[in-house]
Amino acid sequence: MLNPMEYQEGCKDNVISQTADFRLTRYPHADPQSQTDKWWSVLIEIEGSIQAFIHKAEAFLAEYDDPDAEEESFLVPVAYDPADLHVEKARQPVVIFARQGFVHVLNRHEGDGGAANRFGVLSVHLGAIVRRDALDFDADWPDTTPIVVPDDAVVMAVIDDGIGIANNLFRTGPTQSRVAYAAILGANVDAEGSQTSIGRTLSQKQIDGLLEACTGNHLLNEDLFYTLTGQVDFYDQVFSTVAMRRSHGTHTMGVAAGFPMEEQCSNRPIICAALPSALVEDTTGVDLLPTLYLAFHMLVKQARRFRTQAGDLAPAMFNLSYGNGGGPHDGTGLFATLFDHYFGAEAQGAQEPQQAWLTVPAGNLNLSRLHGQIEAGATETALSLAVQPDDRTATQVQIWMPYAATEAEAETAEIAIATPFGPAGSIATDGRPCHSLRDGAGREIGRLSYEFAPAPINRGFALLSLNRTSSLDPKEALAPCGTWTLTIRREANAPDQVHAWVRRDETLPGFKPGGRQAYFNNDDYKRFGKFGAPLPVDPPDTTSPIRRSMTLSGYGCGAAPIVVAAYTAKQAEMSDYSAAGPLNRPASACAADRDGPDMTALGDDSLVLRGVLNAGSRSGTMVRQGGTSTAAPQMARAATGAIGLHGLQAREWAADPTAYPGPIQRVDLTDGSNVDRVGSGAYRVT
Amino acid sequence: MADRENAYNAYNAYNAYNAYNAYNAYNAYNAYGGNVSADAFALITNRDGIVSSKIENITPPLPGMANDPNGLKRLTPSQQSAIFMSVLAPTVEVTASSKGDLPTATVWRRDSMNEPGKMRYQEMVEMSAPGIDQLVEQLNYVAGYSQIRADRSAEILAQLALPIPFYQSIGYIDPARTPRTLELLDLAAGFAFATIQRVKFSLGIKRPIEFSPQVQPMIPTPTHASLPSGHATEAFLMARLIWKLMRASEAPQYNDQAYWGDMLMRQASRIAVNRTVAGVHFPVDSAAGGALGLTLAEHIEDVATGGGWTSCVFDGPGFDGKLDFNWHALYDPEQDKMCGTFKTDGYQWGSSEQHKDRRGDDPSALLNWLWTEAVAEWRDVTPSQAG
Repeated sequence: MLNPMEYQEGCKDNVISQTADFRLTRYPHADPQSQTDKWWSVLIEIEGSIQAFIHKAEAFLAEYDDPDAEEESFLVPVAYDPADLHVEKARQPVVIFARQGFVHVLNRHEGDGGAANRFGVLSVHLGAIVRRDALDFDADWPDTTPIVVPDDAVVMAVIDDGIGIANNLFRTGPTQSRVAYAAILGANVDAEGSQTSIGRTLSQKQIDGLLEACTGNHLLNEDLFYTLTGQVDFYDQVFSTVAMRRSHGTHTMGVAAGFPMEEQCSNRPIICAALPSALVEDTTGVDLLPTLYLAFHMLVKQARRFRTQAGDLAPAMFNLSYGNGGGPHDGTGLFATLFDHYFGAEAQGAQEPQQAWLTVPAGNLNLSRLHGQIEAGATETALSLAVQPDDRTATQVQIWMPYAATEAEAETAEIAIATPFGPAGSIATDGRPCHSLRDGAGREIGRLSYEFAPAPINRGFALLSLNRTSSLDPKEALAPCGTWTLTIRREANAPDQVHAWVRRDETLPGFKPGGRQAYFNNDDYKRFGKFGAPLPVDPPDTTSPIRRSMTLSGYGCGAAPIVVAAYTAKQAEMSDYSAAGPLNRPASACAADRDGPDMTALGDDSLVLRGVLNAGSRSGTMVRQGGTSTAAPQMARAATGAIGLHGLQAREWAADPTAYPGPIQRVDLTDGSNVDRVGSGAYRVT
Repeated sequence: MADRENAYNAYNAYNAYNAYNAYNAYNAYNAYGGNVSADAFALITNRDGIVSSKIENITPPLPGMANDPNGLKRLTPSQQSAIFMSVLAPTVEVTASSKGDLPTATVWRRDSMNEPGKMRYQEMVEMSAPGIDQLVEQLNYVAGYSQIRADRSAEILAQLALPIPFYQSIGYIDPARTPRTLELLDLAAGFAFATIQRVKFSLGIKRPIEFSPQVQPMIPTPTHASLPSGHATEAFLMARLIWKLMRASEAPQYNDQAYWGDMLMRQASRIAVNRTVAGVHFPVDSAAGGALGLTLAEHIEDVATGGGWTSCVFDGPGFDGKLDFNWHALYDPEQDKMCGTFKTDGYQWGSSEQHKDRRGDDPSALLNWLWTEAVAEWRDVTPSQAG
C-alpha cells in the first residue's frame, strides 16, 4: 500500500506540498532499492492534538501497512512530552520522522481515494533524509529535573552545526564542562539510556565523564572525545566539522558564550543542539527547517530546567546563526513563525513565563541576486535565471503573489517558463495550477505549480522546481543548465508588487551534496559602481527587477527574534553581503512589524581581514569566521546584561541597547543611515 | 626516472631529510669545503715550495685505537652510520610463515651477540595478517577520513618525507644542538626501514586503492604492501626514542611530566592517521605499525644500553574491522611501557611482554657511545667554573 512507486513523477492535483512531492519523486540515485524505507524529517502542521494525529495514523497504518513490515512507519520524537501530546490547537507544527511511503500519504489532500489524508495534516514541509541509525524508537523522556544556577545566570542556548563542546572556552576545568546539555542530532543512537529519538543527548555529567575518559597526562584528546560523543564516526560516515580546524558552531558558541577557563564562569550555563553536518544522500534540496523546529523544541524545554537560587526561571538567550532565502518575507512563513511559536506572546501558554530572547542573522544574500521584484502595474516582467552547470542539487524559485484576504480575492496572473532552448509552457493562477517540464524521453525535469497559501500567509504561491543539472548516473533525467526565463504576466494596474526568490542551495563547507547556486541574471542589474566596487544598495534609478532589497533571511523576517546585520570595522561601513529589508507589504495582520534587521554587529575586521577571530575546533585555537552568522552571537552575548530586566522585550532592547546594562557600545558607520540594512545602529561587544 | 621514483617513494626520506640532517652542520666547519680538486693543484706546488726532497724527521705517533668507541667521534657521520648499522642490522631477522590461511611474519631478536657461537633467536614481534573481510570493513574508515583531506593536506604532504620537523617542533632538535640525536633517529629509521619492508612483504596486505575505485588517494600509493604502516612504525619509533632520551637526560621538565611523552605519542598518532586520511592506509595498518615501532624503539635502547626488551604479538584477525586506531591501547608514556594486552572496545588484538637481558647479552659499546652522546644533548648545560 505504501509503495511509493504508485506515486509517479509529474503533476498531481491531490498533493498538499508540491515542493515535497517534487523532491520525493526525484530519481532515486542514492540507494534506489530502499525508496520506501528511506526516512525523512518532516515538519507537519496539524489540526488538533499530536496524540489524535498518532491515533489516526496508527489506525490508517494498521489497515494499509504491510503486515510483515518489521518497523514502524513514523516516529514522533520523545521531545514532545506527554503534556505536549495532548495540547489541542487549531494549527500546530510538529516534527516527525517518517518513511518515504508514509510521507507520500501524509502529503495527499483529504478526499483523495483509498489513501485519503485523514490525519488532520494542514501542511507538509519536507526536511532531509535521516539515517535510520540516528533514530531511536525506544528512547526515554528527556530529563527535566531542575538545575540550580546563580541568581545572575543567563542560560546560553546555541543551535548550530559542528559545535566543539570540549573547547576550553566552554569549560571551567580540565574535566569540568559548562555545557549542561548537548543534543548531537547527527550522531548514531547511543546504546543505552537514550533520551532522544534522534541522535544523542549528553548531560553535563556525561560530558564531564567523557572529558575525564579522554584526558591522560593532563592532556585532553579532543579527537577521541568527539568520537565518543558520536559527533564524529568515520566508520559510519558520521561527520562533523569539529574534526576540522574550523567549525561553524564552535566559533558561534565561542562568540556567544565562550569564557577563558580561568575565569571560572558559573553564570552562563550552556545548552546546545548540534545539527547534522553532512547530509550526504539528499540532493533534492536539503531543508533544515524540521530539524530546527525539533532542536528549538528540545532546547526550550531544557532551558526551563534552570532555576535561580531564589527559585525563579533563569532567563535564556538563544542564538541561531543560520540563514534561509525562502518564504513570503513578511513574517508569516514557517521560517519566521518558528520563533513566534517558541518565543512569541502566546508561546508560554499557561506555564510560568520564562524570559527567552533569540538572536538570528540578517543573512548574507545582499549581493547574491536571489531576489526579483515585479513592480505594481508591470504587465509583463521577465526574470532571467542562470542555472549553473554541474549543480548537484535541485533548483527552486518561489514566486509570492500579493496579499489577498481570501483565496477568491487573489490576484490572477500567468507565469510562463522558457528553458535555455525556448518556451516550455505556462500556468495560470486561476485554472492551470501545475505544469510538468519534460525532456525528449518524456521524463519530468522540472515543474511549475501554483497554490494558495492560506492564513496566516494569505498569498498565492508559485513554485518552479528544476532537477539537478548534473549526475553521475546516466539514467537520471537532468534539467539543462543555462539561462532560463520566467515571465510573469499580470493584469493592467495590479496595485501591489510580486516577489520571487531563488532558494539558496549552494553547498557549504563540510556538506556534501554539491549544489551550485542558481541566480537571477537580468541584463539591467547593475552590479558595480563607477570605481568597480560592488554596489551594496540598489541604485535609486534602477529599472531592474533584480534587487538587493528584501533579501533578509527567511528566519530574520519574524516578529520575535533580534535580527542582526554585519559591518566591517576598518571601513566603518556595512558589510556588502549583509542582507536588507524591507519586508513584503501589504501583508496579513499576522505579519511582522519590522523594516529590516534590528541592529548591526561586527562581521569583518576589514575588507582584507574577513571575519572575526574566535574559537577554532580545538582548545586554544583561533580561526576567522565572518558574516551575519558571526554578528548575531555577539549581540546574544551583549544582551545577557539586560535580558534579566523584568518585562524588557528583546526587540525593545535591540532598538536602544546602550540604554541598558551590558557589554556593548555604539559604533558610528559612514553609511549607518539606511534603516533597512542597519536597524537601530551598529554595536560592538566590550 | 630516478628522481621520479624518489619523489614517489615516501620512504626515500634521506633526500628530504638532508635539509635537517646533522651532516650539513659539519660542512660549515670543513676546511676543505667542496673544492678538493682545485685545492689539490695548489697543494702540489705548495709542497714543492716548502718541503725539501727528503723526509728527514719522523715522529712516531701512538698506535691507533682499535675498535674503541672513543674513535667514533673522529669519523664522519656517514662512516659512523655505517658502523652503527653494522651493529644493529644483524640483531634482527624476519621470517614468514602462515597461521591457517593467514600469513604471519616474525621479527626475531638475536641475543648473546657478543658471544659468538652462543647466539640465540627469540621472537620479538609476531604479526599476523587481518583477513580481507576486515579490510573491507576498514574501508569505511578510509572513506570517512577522506572528508578531512583538505584540512590535513599540508601535513600529509610534509610527511611524505621522514617527519623530523614534526618532532623538532616538540623536542629541541637541531643539527647544531643535537647532532647525535639526529644521527640516532636516522639510524633507527634506516634500521626499521629494512624490517618494515620485510614484514610488509611477508604479509602482502593490499592497499585501500585496490578495494574500490572511489578511494582515490590524494597522494600516490606506495607500491609496497599496506600493513604494517611504515609511517606509523617510524613515527612511533622516533617518538619513543625521543621520549627515552628526554627521560634519560634527567632534565627536570622531562622527568616531572609525562605529557611530553604523551604529546610525542599524539604526534606519532596524527602522522599515522594522516595516512588513512590520505587514502593509502587502513587504521589496522597504523595499529600494527605502532606496535612494531614501539617494540623496535625498546630493542634499540636495549642494544645500546642493556636493561631489557619487549616482545609483542599483533593479532591481525583480532582487530575487528569496525575498530579505529587508538594509540592508548598500545603504550603508556608515563611508565614508558607497552600495554600488556592491546584492547579496543572489548576486542583484544595483541599483547606485549617485558624481558630481561640474558647473560652475555651485553650492550654494544659502539651504540652505547652514540646513545650516551645523544642523551647528553638533552641534559641541561651546567654553569661553567669561573677561573
